[in-house]
Amino acid sequence: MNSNFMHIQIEEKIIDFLKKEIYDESIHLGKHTNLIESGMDSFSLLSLLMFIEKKFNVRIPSEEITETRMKSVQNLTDLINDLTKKK
Amino acid sequence: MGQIILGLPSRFSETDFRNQISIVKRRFPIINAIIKRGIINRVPYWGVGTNTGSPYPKVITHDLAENTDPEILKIRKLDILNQPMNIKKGELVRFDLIYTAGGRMELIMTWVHMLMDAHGAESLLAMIGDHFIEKSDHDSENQVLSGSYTKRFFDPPSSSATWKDAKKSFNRIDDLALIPPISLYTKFKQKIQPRQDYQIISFDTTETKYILDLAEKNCGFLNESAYFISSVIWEFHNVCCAKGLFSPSYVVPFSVDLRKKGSPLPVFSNQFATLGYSFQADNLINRESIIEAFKTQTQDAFRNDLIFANLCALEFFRFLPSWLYAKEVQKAGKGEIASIVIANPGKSFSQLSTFIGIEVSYHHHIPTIVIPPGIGVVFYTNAGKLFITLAYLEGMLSPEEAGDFLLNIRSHLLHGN
Repeated sequence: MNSNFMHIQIEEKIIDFLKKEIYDESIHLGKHTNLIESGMDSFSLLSLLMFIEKKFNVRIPSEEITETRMKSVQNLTDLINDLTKKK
Repeated sequence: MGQIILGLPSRFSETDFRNQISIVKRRFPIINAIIKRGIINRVPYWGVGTNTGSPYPKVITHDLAENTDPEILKIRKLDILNQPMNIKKGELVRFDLIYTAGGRMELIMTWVHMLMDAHGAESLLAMIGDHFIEKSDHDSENQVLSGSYTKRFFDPPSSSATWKDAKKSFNRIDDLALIPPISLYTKFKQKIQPRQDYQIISFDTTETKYILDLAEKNCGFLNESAYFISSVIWEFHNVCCAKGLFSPSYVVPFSVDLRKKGSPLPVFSNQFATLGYSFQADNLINRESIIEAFKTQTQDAFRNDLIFANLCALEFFRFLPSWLYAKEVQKAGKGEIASIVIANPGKSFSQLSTFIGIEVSYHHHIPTIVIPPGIGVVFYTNAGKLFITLAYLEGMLSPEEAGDFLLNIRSHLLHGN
């Protein structure tokens, strides 16, 4: 239950950041929203990666920056959890 | 200034076109506004609606239908590109219609960058081409979208601009100036004409997909800018060496799109910031070293909030009187802080696939380049095809050198593995 709660917290923080900094309010952002199809580009992706690094103290290695991993908030959260467990 | 060229296989009615412009002009009077400054605070703003009876925007026709020599068309287009705008009297947008053989035509829209960026210009042109004009999305109540946006040339930073934040931007320029580049403009100043030329190359849809796949393979997901820049810098270095210019660094201003993704296009606004990149000898060993230098500097720019710093710096600059602003810009430029300008605005506006009911054959972007450096490259895609425009001052490169530069960039992009 604790890890579920953490998972939800991470998702919420990422969604909050995306709503504030990257996407217009007209875009509905949920954990399954396809971020690439919603317009993410190289600089917004970098902005998101920097946020994740600062907020969760996790640096995403370049081999993990793929369409699959970056596609949705849920996928990103799974990645953050995977990287945190490895530490 | 900037230019968009639409190639059309048949001609629209000039009367319809002028009517559409009148509708847009009534709806959005900012398109022939005059720049004013606050008496006390000196903040510039658009004097919207004060320019009644203005003849702008002008529509100028050129009948080259009887003349099949492509050189005549090229010269005419260069004359149009180099024709200055009467900004003080509110000429912020201009249209040139060139009628060519076979019943075809080109529509050229030239605009002043203070009014809007390239995405905004595309949106304006799409409105004139009969898209959105009556739709509620472009509500005149919406200040940014509608253009009754009287106060600013650039969108302000998201929180208050402080001098401490702005200083980071100036510090970055000072860092770049520690190893100042020598530009082609400086080396060949005696030969250079105050007249811009350009060339364009294109890639078909298969080649474009191949290039974007190579970009991902070489530079990572969604990072085609790094791939494009590495090709330009590599070949630019070769051009400079061939011309006997050995610069200790290449400094590249690169634009970053600041639009919130998915937002309806704010037309009369500039929604970008510029980051400065420096490439020195040890970055120019091969493609990978250039890409690494680009990525590192981009990450540093984000870590140090340089984009926000640039917006703050612009805010402070707006309070300067015009002559002092011009002096500061000239000082920065004189210090040789740019070798070549590169931009990658991405996909062209899909609503420009037709114009007044006619399918658009091609859609080109022509930037006008700041002097110095007087040379720039812009990448853009339209209908799944990649285009590259090289713009440069006459005398800086011969047409053959410019053509070879582009062909070498093309080859470099296609042979990324």
